[in-house]
Amino acid sequence: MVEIDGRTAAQGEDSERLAFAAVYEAEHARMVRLARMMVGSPSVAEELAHDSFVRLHGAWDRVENPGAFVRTILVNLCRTWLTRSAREDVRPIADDRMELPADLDETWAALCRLPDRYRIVLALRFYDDLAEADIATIVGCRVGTVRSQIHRGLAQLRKELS
Amino acid sequence: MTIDIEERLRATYVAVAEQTRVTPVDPAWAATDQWDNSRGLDDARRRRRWPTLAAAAAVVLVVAGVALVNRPSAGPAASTIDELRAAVDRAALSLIPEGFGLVEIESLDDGGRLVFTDGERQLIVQTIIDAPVPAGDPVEVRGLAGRVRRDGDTTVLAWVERPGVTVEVIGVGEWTTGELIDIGNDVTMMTTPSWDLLTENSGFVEARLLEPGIEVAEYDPDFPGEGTSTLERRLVGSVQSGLGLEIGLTSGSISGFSTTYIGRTGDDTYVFVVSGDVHRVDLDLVGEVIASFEPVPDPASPDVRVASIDLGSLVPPRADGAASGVGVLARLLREDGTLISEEPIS
Repeated sequence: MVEIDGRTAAQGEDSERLAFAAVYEAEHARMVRLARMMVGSPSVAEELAHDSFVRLHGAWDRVENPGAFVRTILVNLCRTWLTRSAREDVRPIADDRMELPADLDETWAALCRLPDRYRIVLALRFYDDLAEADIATIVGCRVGTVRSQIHRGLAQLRKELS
Repeated sequence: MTIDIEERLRATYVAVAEQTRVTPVDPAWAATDQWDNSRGLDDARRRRRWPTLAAAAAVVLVVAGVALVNRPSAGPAASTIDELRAAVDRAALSLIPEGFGLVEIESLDDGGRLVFTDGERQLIVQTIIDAPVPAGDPVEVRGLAGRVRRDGDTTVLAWVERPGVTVEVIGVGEWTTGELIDIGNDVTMMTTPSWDLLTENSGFVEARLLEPGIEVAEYDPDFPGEGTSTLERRLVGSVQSGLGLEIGLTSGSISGFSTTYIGRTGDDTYVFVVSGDVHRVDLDLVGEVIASFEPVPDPASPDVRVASIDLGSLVPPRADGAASGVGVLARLLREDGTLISEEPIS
């Protein structure tokens, strides 16, 4: 028997199930929220986060770093959704009602107007607190590109808020 | 007034996160039979079917949502998850029998139908809403009670997947009941969006040939880059098992298309966009697509000329474990077949 996160199971595949469950419990809520920072809509975020875990689930045997893996998938799914929804003009970004202090509400609205590429790297950097090198790995570009996008994103945000 | 933009941004994220309700889900769903269903059954079977699995990986990506939507309910609330579960309504295969290719996919008012063939035998997987299970010998499939009936060279395996949803696996030609049950066990139920994606792309995960004049909204392999380009035609990423699968034309070989490279479009993720004529697009034995064309300058490195693009269904593992094993890998090749670069796309 093995024990993971308070659960026990037989060795072998059951332990894999528990390991997956542990990762899910540890990361799921954060992934939903990270997705929301990228796509805006809470319901879409939840759907994309779950889809990311489904893909993690399917690739479990081959994944060495589940956290990095699920973030990579999540970012790709968010990018795909943003691209597709932009074409269909159905983006629900910032259309839900939250009760935020005025300055934060203004910032959220400005964030939602940013180009997708800026919003994605900003969320990874300032919500998920990832290092630029990790962000580069996840979005599949050079560190310099990430740095540049963060800089431009912040600059555009600052301009909108000033 | 000077704004500490980073501080305000972090505060905004914290506030938004606090107001983002996350539907609680019991991760124990991972410990259900769906673990096996979505992961290719036991090791021996997985090894035996590996070539097919590799070829069908793209389909698995599309249909993987079944593991999510089929898991046990976490609560009574009407949530996105519940809605997704309710939307699961059409059957597909998570593993396509070796040697078979998808030749027809059809959405019906009361279900959907997939037709596979290996040139001799035919395999049909169809979902029918509110249809009775035909009479036949009792069998067990997917842990459910099913019926199998043979009529001439046609064998029909049917069962009620859930109330109101009947699935039929029909073998035309020489099929044993055991073979059909194995296939039935590999059936996975798809959500409507996933099914639509499959039908829109003729069974490919991301293959689409579009008409001229479509603008590429983003064009830069180093996401998140910028740039636009207009192409005459485009073939969006691809992979599906089976030779003879259509990509606009029959026989797995097409010619005369203009386009290429990998860009990002306004309506989908990545596309090939080649500015020269594509001589041909071949599907190899594991469902990879190789597009060959007159060598054109690599937009990222104009002194390098790209002669073909090879789309693989699996992304090789990265050293850090990120993005291993999923998505599509596009390799840009020179005329002599040597690698210029490879770009994971998904």
